[in-house]
Amino acid sequence: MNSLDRTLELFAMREPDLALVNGAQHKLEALVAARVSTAAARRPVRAARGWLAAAATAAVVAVAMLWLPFGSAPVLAFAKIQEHFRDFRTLRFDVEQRMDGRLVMESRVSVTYDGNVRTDVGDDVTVIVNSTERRVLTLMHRSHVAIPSPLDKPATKEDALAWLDDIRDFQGEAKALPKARWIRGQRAQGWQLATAAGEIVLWANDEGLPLEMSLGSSTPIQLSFDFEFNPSLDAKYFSTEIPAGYSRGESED
Amino acid sequence: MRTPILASAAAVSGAAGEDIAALARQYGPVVFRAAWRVLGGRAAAEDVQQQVFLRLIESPPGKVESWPAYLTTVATRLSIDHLRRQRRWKLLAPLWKSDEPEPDDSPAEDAERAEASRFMRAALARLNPRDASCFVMRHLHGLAPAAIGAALGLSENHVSVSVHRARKALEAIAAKELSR
Repeated sequence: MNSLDRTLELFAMREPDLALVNGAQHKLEALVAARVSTAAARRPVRAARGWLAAAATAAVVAVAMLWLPFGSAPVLAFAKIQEHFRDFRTLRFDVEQRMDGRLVMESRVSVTYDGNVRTDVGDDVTVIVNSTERRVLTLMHRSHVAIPSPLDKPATKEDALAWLDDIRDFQGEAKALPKARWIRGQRAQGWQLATAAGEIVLWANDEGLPLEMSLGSSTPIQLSFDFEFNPSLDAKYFSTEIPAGYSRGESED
Repeated sequence: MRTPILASAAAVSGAAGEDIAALARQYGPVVFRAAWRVLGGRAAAEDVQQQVFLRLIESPPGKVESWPAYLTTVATRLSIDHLRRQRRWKLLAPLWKSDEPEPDDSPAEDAERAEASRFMRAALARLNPRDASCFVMRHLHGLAPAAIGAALGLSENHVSVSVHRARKALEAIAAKELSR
């Protein structure tokens, strides 16, 4: 065996620990889910819902799940909760994903009424969907790589109104939970919704302002949401310009 | 200019997003391992793994004969690119802290293996990218020349020539290092 063969043999015998592989896999699946949803929003049929489709792009699980309670409650009191979702200027929510109780992913999603969405997945990845600029920017922070891509389907008012009509017409059932909770110093009423996606529990204060939501309590994967309505979000927060210090990643060589 | 790998991926549309999510679930670990073998660091390997699937979403391939071979090929090419960028950066800023991958091996890793890894990464970054990719896929990932050729859009003979050329270049680099 010559020197190069020996060097190669030593180099090739290394394999990553399973924990490294699994950790990377969790992050990958969350990122792919977000970007697959972005791509879906660009397809004409699915983009018919306008900016909501764009919104659903980056926050795949989060926004999709957020969407569900809108149309699931004929109860009058629950309608007040729907109004908050319907009328917000900006919305920010933190999502925790747990697997059998173990925290596997944290993300923060920020949404504006006109369809801009920014999703920060941990400290690793940010996906920005800017409906005004019709661009998507993915930032990979550790490697300082920025990958821009077009958002093909423009957002329109008509689409937005169609989405609102969909929500208003939706029929479902919301069950008020018997016991109240205190969340961030506010008394919160719980609502249980049976949806196609599973059981959702949504907590809102006495004014119907949604505070928290949980999904999948009886499944191995649980999601919890912590809402903040109408926070101040600078337009720069949704900029799809490549930030200083980042190099442009290309889809094709 | 597109590489044959990505040109073939972009040429045919087909794989739906849901399919790519399924591919990520099934082959994500394969891709991570392929990148890690070349790069030796968690963060860099994760970046490559994510880029592989982001590219699939942006340019879904149509017909792929072997997904593991295809994905391993893309991961290898991106890993080689990463090594080349790293090398360029070091050439530009030699006095700055080096961007070596963080060690995932135990501290007790023997010096000989560590030196072998350092040499191979540095040397691969200096090769023609296609030759380096063929060499890594053949000798590090253990892919057959036919599978490499199918994934890269090259003939089996072309792959063998590339592997041979890479080997000769690596031997020359090693000899040069020894003579210093």
